[in-house]
Formats: sequence, C-alpha cells, structure tokens
Amino acid sequence: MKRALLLLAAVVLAGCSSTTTTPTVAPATATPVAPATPASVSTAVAVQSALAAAASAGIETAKVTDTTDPITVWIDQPRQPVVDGFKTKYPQYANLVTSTIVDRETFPAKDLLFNNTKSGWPDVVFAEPRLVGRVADAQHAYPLDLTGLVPADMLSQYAGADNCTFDGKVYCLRNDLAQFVTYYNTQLFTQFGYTVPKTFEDMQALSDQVAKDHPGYYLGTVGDGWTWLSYFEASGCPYAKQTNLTTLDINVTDPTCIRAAQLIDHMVANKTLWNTDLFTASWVQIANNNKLLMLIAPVWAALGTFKGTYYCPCTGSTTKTTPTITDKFLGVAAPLKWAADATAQTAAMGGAAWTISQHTKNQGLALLFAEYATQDPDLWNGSSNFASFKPLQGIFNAIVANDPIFASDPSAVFDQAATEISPVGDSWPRFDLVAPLTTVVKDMYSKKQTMEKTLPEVTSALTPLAKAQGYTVVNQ
Amino acid sequence: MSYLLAAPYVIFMAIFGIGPALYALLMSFSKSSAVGPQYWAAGLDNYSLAFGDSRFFQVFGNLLEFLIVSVPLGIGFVVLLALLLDMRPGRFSSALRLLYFIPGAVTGPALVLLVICILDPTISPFGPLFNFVGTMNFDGLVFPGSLPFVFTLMGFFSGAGMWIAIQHGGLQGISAEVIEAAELDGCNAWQKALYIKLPYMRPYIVYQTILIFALNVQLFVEPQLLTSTWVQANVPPQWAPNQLAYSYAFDVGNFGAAAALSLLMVAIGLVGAVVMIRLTGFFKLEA
Repeated sequence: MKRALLLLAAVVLAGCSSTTTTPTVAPATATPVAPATPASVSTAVAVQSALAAAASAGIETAKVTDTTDPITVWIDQPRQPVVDGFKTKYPQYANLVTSTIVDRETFPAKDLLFNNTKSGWPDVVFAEPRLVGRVADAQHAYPLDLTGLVPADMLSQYAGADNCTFDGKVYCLRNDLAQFVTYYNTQLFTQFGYTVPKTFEDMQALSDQVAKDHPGYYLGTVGDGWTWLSYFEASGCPYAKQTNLTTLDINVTDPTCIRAAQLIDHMVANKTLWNTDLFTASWVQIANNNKLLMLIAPVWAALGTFKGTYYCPCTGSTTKTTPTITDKFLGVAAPLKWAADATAQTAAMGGAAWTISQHTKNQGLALLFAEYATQDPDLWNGSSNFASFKPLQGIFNAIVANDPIFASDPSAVFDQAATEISPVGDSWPRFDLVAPLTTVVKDMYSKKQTMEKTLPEVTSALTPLAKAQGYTVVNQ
Repeated sequence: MSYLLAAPYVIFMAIFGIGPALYALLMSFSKSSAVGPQYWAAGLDNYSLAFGDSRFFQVFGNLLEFLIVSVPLGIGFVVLLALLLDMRPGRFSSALRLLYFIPGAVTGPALVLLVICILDPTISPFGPLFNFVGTMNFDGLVFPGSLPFVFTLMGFFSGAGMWIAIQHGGLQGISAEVIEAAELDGCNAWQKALYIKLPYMRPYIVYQTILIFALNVQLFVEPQLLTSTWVQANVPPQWAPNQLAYSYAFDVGNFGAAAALSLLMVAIGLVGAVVMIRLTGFFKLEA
C-alpha cells in the first residue's frame, strides 16, 4: 500500500505529460506540481472499480525468453516511475533493465550514429509517433514491427494506434493521447452571462462581445507552433499533409487555412487572444489574475497545467477573486468545429508511445516493458495523462469525474475528443513542424503583420525542410 | 630535436584536424544507408543537394552579416580595452583584467544560456532598462534582424577576456625606452596609445583577426540553443551554415551533404587566413 501511494504521488508529481514543448527560460512555468488532493470516498471507490476492470482486461502477454541480455530504456524524467514500477513488479528482471534520461528530440540523430558504429542502440524508447516516423525510414531503420509480436486483439485496444502504423507496420505502442479540448471558466461565464461557443464562428462573435464589455479577458493564446496547430488542424488546413511517403502537400492558400488565419487575426486585433505559448510567464499571469475566460488546450493540461500552474496552489501571484483548484469552476467542452464542417477535429500536443529497437537482443523483455508501461493499472492510477490503452481510460475518467477543479464530470468530453484527433496530425512528415511554425508565428508578431499575410512563410519555412528529407512538395 | 618538439602538435593536428577533414572529403562523395556509408556511391549528388538547397544562400548571407558585425566590433573593443588597461597600470587595472577574463572561464553553452537569461526582460537584471527603451519581451530583443548583434555579444563575453589578456601581454613587450622617449617628446596617454602602442600591436591584431574569423565562421552553439525547444526564440531552425550541415547529418541522415557543407566552411576559413596573411605580411612581421 505504501509503495502504491508513493507511486501515485510520483506519477502525480510527474504532472505534465509527454508533450515535447517546454517552457521558455521564464521561471514560473511548467513543472506543474499538483499536490495530491484528498480524494473523496466516491472517487476512491470509482478508481478502485476502474482499476479492477482494467486489471481483468488481461495484459502483459509478452513471453520473456531465457536470454539474460540486458535492455536499455530511453525515457524522460516523468517516466522514471515506469522503470521503478517495472523493477518492483518484476524483480527477476530488475537487474536487466537500465534506464537513461535523454532529450528524445535527438533520438533520430543518435540512431544514425549508432547505425554508423553498428552498436549502442537503446532497446526501448519513449517518444512521440512523429519521432518514431523519423526513425522508420530506410536510413534510420530503427523500429521493430510489432505486428504478430503483440496480439492483434491487444493492439486493437490502443486508441490512436494509427499514428504508430507506418506503411502497414506497427512501430510503437501508444502511451497516451493528447487531444485538445475547450476549457472555460464557468464562474466568469455565469457572471458575464455568456454561453460557451460550439463553433469557431461563435467564438469569434464572443470575442467581439468580450472585447466590448470586458476588455482584458482572454479566450486563448497563439504564440508558438503548438498553439498555431490547435487552430489550423482544427480547421483541417493542409499545411503539411503527407499524401504518400514521398509527397508532401503544403497548401496554405486552402480556404480552411484562410479561415483559421482570419479568426486568429480577428482575435489578435480585438485583444482576446494572447501572444505566447501555454507556459510563458506572462500567459500564466493572465490565468493567475483570473483574466482567462476560455482556452483550447490538451487533455493533460486539465490536471497538469490548470491545476497548480494556472490556478492555486501555484507559484504565481493571484488575486483574491481567482478561483482555487477546489472551486468546481473549470468547464470542459467539446473541441470547437467550424459551422460548415460536419464534425469537429482536434490537434494533439504530445501523446507519446513506446517503440522497440529491431536491434534488440532481448525482444521478450523489451516487449514486456512496453506492455507494462502502457497497460499497468497501478502505474496509471493517478496519472494526469489520458491513456491510449482503452481499459485504462476508466481510471483517468474516475479520477477526473470527481476532481473538485471541474464544474461537472468532463470524462465524456475527453473520450469524445479522443476520437476526433485530426487526420493531418495523424501522419506527420519526417521532420519537425513545431520549431519552424513557432518561427512563423513569432515573425508575424515582430513584423506586426496579420496571420493571413504571413501564411506564405509557412510554405517557405517548411518546403526546404521537406525537400531535404526527399519529399516532392506539391501545392494542391 | 626540433621534430620531437613539433611532434605533439603534428600528431594531434593529424588525428583531430587533417584526418577528419580527409574523412569528410571521402564522406562527401558517399551515400548514407542503414548499414553504414557506401563510399564513392554518391558522385557529386551531395554537393548539388546541399548547394542547391534554398536555405544555402540564406545561411551564408546570415553568416556574412554576422562576420561583418562581429569581427570589427569584437577586435575593436578588445584592443580598446587592452589599451585602456595599459594606460593606468596598477591594482585597479589588474583587477579589471581578471574580471574581463572570468566569463571566458565559463564554458560556451553555459554562457549562451546566461546571455539568453539576460536578454529575457522578465528575469533579467536589466529588465527595467529594457522596459525603459520600450521592449517588454524576449522576442522584442531577439529576432532575425538583431541576431548578428546578439551573437556578437555572446561571442564577446566568452572570448574577449582571453584576447584582452593576450593583447595586454603584447603591450607589456613594448620596451620602456620607447615609451619614455614618447613621453619626453610630449605624447599624452592617447597619443602614446594611437601612435606608439597600436603599431606595435599590429601582429597580435592580425593574429586575432585570423582566429576570430575562423572561429566565427563556425558559429553553431548560439543559434542552435536559441532554436531549441527550451528557448523557442524567433530564429529560423537553420540560421548558420553549420546548423544546415548539422541538420543534414542528424535530421535527414545525409552525412554526405553535411560533409560537403563542412568542407566548404574549411575552404572559407583557409582562404580568409591566407588573404589576411598575404595582405599584412603577417609572418614577416613576426620575424
């Protein structure tokens, strides 16, 4: 029991999920430390039954052979409890598992160096599917095809598995999903008499109203690649659409891109949209001062960022009117859609996976580790991440259902949004999009230009990157 | 005996300088693959790919801007500070000399991070100053147009201390008689600096120019750290030629194209040095 509690605390402390983006140098940012709030009795019961349900889902079928070859696992700091938990659960393999904390953005580069020296590959790596895609080409040839190694009925239990499927081969097991949803402050909405927008058109109309009646309040922020993506992928803009493995469609003149750009321009102009990423001190300050009305943010932000960073207990200064994390004020609404679209689609920020090396000498152990990491109910109890493995999603739902930060049970919204992750975000090209898009957004602000007029820069920033990777770039 | 004394330099030069350069030459004609490089398989493909990249002229244009700003400014300030230190020898000036040297003792990347913090008004000790001149955020100070100056500042912090020590050392070598003669002729401190000391410093200045030029051509850490996900500054992902080469090697996995770009930079450094030596008759002065 004590161990479980420790583990729970560790996972909660790990907080912010598998996103790659990190705060700027500004201090009062991420590393959201959410102290374990005393769970109510009903939460405990709900979590217990969810745990039991997940445990009976039948997991970890990997056959570990007699080989005593050790494996090396590449993780980030918040994933340390996974390694510790594995060693506790399987003491017989504890001395075979070595973990290294790495900056996984360098994973594709290091893999090439290992290819040159023909040794040194890590056996298991924690990384986003977009990074797995970059090591899946003939040059890198890193991942092991899991088809057949992981039973098909187990694979089908992973939501978002499409992102791990490259050219028909399954190259990773999803860890978590990071779909964007719409968060809003129910206290402020009631006080101002606003209704929560359902479409982006509603949002634009609301922004005019806010600008007129309550200037100084914000409906969101666009200041880096991720926040840019949350609008443009939701609009279905083909800014980097991989039509096949060698062709990339970059077409920012598409009406879906123009409408997203115009919305951003409108809301930047009426000062309801801030100009930083989600973690910059000035943005956190806005939330701390209770000037945050609404925000499109990933699912892990609920427990990882809203709790502890945006709302107290937190490091920033707050005004007396700012609600605290037990005030049942945070509303969660479905991803916004455009009136003309049939359904909503949402970007994903992070949402990582575990991939196994085709060079591993101990396939069984590597597989067991990846299955444990993605499927163990005790490990996932208390995580702020939305699990990809469907039997585990009940645990997260049970936790959020009674968390006192939410105005009402948000689990249905999270579940729904998980099915709406944009197909553009499903297949990232083989190069990083976030850094060049961040440059484009920042350039727009520094030139005091509109997003609509800045859109050609998206093409000029992404095209050389695509060509260097061997893509034929088309603008259809 | 002379060979023995030269040996350590020659050996290290061969292992860490000439050897890798020859390997790069080989790589530039090779194709990368999952089973290691295939030598000579690429022909001139790597060169045409790298030199035909639309970022090629951009990054070299950026580099040229940076060199135009950083080389004269860097050398000018160092010489000025060295002359100033020499004007009033004493405890104060030796303390200052040590102070100038201290930033050079911090390793490059750490120093870059320090400058990044200094340039972020929200945490910088100079925050009020930035506010006063009207810039409230990091992006207002670090943007493509300001980068040559930002990198010059970073380079100056890390390298200036050492060069001040060298230049100041050179000034100590000027014979006391010459200085005395100048004083008898009625030179004031500035005239002494301009007409007596500066000409004596010439070989050291040429030497510094060659090395600073070669060093600045290799600009890498500064822009790379600024574009990292930790800082996310308003800097294109590949700003300097070295970053383009790095990107070819480690983002794309094309070591051949990276080698081609690296060789081009070796050539630029060499040509720069030869031109400087020819123009100034450096080795003749040395003798």
